[in-house]
Amino acid sequence: MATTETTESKWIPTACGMCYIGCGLLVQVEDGIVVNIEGNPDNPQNRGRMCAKGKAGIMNLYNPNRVKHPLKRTSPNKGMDVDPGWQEITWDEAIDTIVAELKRIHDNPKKLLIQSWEVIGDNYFWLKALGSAFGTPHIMAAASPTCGKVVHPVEFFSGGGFHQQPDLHYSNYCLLVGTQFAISARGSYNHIALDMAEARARGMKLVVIDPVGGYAASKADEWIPIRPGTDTALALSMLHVLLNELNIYDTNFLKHKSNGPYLIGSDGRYVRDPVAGKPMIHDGADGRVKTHDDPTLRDPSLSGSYAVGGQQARPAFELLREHVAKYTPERTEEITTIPAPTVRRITKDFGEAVSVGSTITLDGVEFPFRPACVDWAKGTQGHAHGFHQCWPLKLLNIVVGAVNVPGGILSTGAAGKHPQEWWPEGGADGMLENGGHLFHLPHPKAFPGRTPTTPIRMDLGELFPLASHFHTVFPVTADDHETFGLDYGIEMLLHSPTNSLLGSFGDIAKVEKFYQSMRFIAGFAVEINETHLFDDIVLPFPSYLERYDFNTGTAGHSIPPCGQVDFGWQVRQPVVEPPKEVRHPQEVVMEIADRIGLLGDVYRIMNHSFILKEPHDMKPGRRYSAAEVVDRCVRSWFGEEHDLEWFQEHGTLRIPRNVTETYIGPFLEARLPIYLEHMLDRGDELKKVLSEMGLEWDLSDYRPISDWLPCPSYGAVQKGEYDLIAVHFKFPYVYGGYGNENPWVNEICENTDAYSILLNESVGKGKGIRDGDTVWLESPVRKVKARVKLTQCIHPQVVGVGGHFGHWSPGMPIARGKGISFNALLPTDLDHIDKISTALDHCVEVKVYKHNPGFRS
Amino acid sequence: MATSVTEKPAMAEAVESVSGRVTGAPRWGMAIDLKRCTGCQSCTMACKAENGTPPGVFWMRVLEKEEGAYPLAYTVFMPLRCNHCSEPPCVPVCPTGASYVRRYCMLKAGVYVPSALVGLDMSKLKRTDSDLAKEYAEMAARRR
Repeated sequence: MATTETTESKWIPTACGMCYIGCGLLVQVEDGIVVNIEGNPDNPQNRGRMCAKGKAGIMNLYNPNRVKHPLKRTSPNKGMDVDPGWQEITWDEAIDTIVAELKRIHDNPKKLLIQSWEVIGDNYFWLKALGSAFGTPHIMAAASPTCGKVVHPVEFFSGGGFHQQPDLHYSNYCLLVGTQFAISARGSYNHIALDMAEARARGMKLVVIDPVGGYAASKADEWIPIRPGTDTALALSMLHVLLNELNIYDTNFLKHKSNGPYLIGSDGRYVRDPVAGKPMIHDGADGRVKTHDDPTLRDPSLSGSYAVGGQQARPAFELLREHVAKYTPERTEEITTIPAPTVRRITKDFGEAVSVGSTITLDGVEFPFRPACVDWAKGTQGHAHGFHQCWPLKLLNIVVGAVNVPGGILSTGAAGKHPQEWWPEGGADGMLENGGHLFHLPHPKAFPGRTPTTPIRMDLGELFPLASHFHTVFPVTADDHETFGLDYGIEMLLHSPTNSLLGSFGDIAKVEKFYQSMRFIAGFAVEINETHLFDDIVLPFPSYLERYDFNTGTAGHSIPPCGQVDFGWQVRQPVVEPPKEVRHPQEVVMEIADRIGLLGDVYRIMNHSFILKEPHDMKPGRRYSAAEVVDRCVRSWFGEEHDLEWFQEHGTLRIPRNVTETYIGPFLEARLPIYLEHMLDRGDELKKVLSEMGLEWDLSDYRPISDWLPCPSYGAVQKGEYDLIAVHFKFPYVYGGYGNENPWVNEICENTDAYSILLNESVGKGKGIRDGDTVWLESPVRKVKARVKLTQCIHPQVVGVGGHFGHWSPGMPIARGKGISFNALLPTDLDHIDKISTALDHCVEVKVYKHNPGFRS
Repeated sequence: MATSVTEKPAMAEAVESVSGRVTGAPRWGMAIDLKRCTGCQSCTMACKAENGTPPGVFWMRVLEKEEGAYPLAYTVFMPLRCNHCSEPPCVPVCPTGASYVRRYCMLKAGVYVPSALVGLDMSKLKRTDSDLAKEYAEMAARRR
């Protein structure tokens, strides 16, 4: 081929895949080589901006250690340090083997485990569809042992969407607890990072409560250190100050939009009318007790004691006020280490800023205006009583009516009018029951929960009737089937490139046993990470720069930027051809499904998931290329004129949203809970099932109003063997996706000392530890060497372990041996798993002491 | 390098020309609002990706400096970059001539604007990890 004088350079729109968000990209390709990646200014989410991970994408594409060929394991043994003895094989052999293994277990399809989370693309859905069609309930849709465990169920029944986001456009006071929202992490990061900066420049006050004084704390107007695992106590004391000392709460909202007025009997449950079984309310207007949906209801009472059904009953709101009165700031100071005057001051600031009763008119529509909110995420979820560490924080927003209104806490992706209409729905007892979602997923539900039954699932999902995920339990049952009456085990795993071994669980020794217990594992891989070391077959997976996807990330559907931001859709298209032997994963799944006779079922599930209408739905009896599938999807959603070719040329399709899609609070025909009445029945049912199984679990978390209960780490440091609690935190340049095998990402980590663990400077000095010293970091289940960074920006009782490091796989030579894996330190048993949400406890008691270099370890 | 004060070295001429004193062309600078900077290192990465600097070499980076004492402690994020001086002091001192003034800097996607970015001639650097440095150098050469 003749050389040309000018370099052939083109800019191709596509979607990033370096984390789960999926920002819009323009990728510059010169003579078939990717030379530059920029943000697409047309994409309403990232608005032309790009984070460090996105910019580093070139290095993922040109990783010399990428898997480019199907591989087979030749070593019969599996272990963390066992060389798999990879041998290149053909696709035919790889798929033949997988199909044979699937056929082997088809008589008991529960033996199949699917791990499908990946840096979001269509395979996330296809692999799940294969599992469902096969007949297994064991489908891990989530990645981490805390990720979304509490926030999703809470949002499903108290927000209507998927995740939460402060309304940065109108907030005047934003309190972050255990999260670095819009500064270091969270969905739609590139969008919210700018919104956060603008909000702060406009004068929004930012307060960060966190054991680690990290990025968010450094930009905050105030950082308030907190002892890990004590968020419940803090939140309850703030509720007490708000409700009982300051008397700040939204009476109107509580009366008409919450179950605050629902009458509670002596058994803690709703008093129900004898005809239809509906919860009852006392109407202050005429003194009569009515059903909650009585059209004559005018003025629900929030206090008092009323005779109904032969007993005295009181409104739930009054019970809440009484309960939180036990949590005075003086009492919680001892638990949280936050001084009582601080709690009073920030509660007063929050209460005044939220301006109960005020309104704002946007585009001619009047809304309640509540320009203050409390936000939380991973830090509060990852505890032995994680649900209750979070729930009272959400309550702070609910009692002042600051949910889904301008300035308050918004629920992400909850509602929309285009391309189809979706909206959250009320259900049982007039309460919010079904969350809204753009995709036809089974309606996200966490209320009223499922009836517990004797488990047949290896993740004991039946024993967690209020949870949305269950996978943290797998290593517990892998060790011990008999206790739970399980007469089989997981024998086969099909997984995505996600590094679940290191990232989806805790105690690495237990996880290793879990992976060793599975007879056959096949996984997709971009790079050989620690999970792949246990694979029998490895299937090469394309780089995101080589893929077709209709679903490009959570920014498109479940965690879009909140506020009045255009709806945007894009597709992912290859900017370069993948290596010869690398196939689109969805095509591989289609082939496997076809070979075991499930293709029609898989299509039926995918047509439903992707809402494909005639004539675009996939028909059994033929296979489709990844590009064809995307083409059908976009034409089905956006019309014939917006086919794949249109998206390949134009990049982003934008549809403006109006204010009533943005701030849905006033239009939601469902009440939000301030009293979780359903917990009592679920707890009683669960206790009965457990006792039939001969088991006794601590079910004290099945309560309608939260109480603080300590994590195991809290008691452990009191006893003295351990004196510190280790927690995890995020770096903005590794958060949420591919990490430090990327050499540029690694360079930044080395330059910023990200691989060191954080220790309070005074504490370090007291232990004779200097900055940069190598130490032993020891938890009850693991002991590792680490380098210490002494800092003022951390609670004295805390060790900070950031990022997603501690890799050892030979397939990751750049990341290997750098930093430590936080998850590997975490004890994994039922005492460390939240009985409501299955979140794994992420605060662990540790010791830190100097490593004597003369001593051979 | 110049050996007498009357002889203007090519380097100084290049600096003067982009400084606007000779051509009258505008000189661009960059202001960074430190109140907004969160230390996310996107700029560090963008510069490295654009210029292909070898491992450990950053033409743009964000320093982190702690201030205060617990609990009134925080980190200040200080983006540090070539400041595009009109008379860059780091250029004349370089004994190997590796430092030079380049006429442009990529301040906006696809738009080269006149400036005085102090660059590094990779071929004059000592190689550490030779393969990797070579790949970076080749990529940087393509960018020029």
